Amino acid sequence: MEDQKLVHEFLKSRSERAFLELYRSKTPHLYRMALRLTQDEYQSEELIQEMWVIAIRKLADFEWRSELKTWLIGILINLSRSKRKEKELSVEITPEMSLDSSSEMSFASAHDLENGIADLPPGYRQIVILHDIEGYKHKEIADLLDITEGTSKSQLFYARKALREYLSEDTSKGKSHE
Amino acid sequence: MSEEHLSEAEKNLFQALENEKNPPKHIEKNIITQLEQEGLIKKTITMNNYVKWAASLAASVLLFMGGMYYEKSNTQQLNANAMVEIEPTKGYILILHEDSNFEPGDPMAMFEEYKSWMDNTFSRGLKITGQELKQEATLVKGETQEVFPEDAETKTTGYFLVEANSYQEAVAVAQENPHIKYGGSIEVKPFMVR
Repeated sequence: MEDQKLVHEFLKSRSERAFLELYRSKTPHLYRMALRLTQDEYQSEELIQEMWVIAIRKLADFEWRSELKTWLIGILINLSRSKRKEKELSVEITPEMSLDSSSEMSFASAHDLENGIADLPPGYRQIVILHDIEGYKHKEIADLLDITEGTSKSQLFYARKALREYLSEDTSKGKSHE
Repeated sequence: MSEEHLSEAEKNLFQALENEKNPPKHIEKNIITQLEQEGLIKKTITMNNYVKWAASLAASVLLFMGGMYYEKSNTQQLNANAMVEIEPTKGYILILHEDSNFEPGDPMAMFEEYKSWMDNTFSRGLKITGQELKQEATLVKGETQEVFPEDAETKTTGYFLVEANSYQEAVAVAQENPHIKYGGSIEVKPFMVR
């Protein structure tokens, strides 16, 4: 069922059944994302619970300026950030940074990539999740995270660099064992 | 290779990541509990919990009919009345009476019959709730209070509240109730809505 219909049905009835339809259509994806963000099952569960309670409180005011999924992700990310004590890394991109070359991730497996994402600092991790996994543009990420597009780009730059280094070390370690 | 772009191989790697994972079932329950507490959602009667509740109620009904005993189960702890709201304009009360003509049958058979009756009523889209009543009763009249004797000829032993589309439908629901088969009588009265 379409998101708008699910939301309309829920707001009309406020029934547990309508909520569950909405919840079950969105949560498996968001839970996977929460796991990536937090790298912790307990924290992910907390995030998902809090996200839905906030979303249901505000749902009647949701104006559909974005997709429902994006709106929910925004709540999830903001909750995740407010829970995280670590300072966000915010480095503006400079021209020379984009010239560097390094090894690719091509020898790694999806499992290695998951580990590499888990190893990233939280600020980098959320950008990689939003841009490279969820497919959001820098403008959308900037809106979601309340940062500039430049910050989004620079964080992605450093995140990928760190990811490639991690995977490069990982695969070279793997080769040295062979 | 620039950090600004992913190679095709890297894109494929990202696409190979698992993007869905079912959350543990208890999260769903926790959220529903919290939303109910905040008054943000209303509880829905699902067939599953309705059947449990119906079984509980049927067992309760049997407990008070003709002094029969049906083994108590945990399901009887369910608060049946809290789970069903009757729309007043479609509300009917079915009051169960018994006199010397009432002859209960085998407890297990009666249990199944009551359960089927409730399931069937629910399946037709009609809401139903009910409660057994104790034998204890006092008639308050003017300044006097008359205590009904334990061995009174006629007893009021329970009631059901039904949300039906018409008076005739409510009467038909009462007619199908196993209470009639065993010699009991049921008084059907519509709610007064002013």
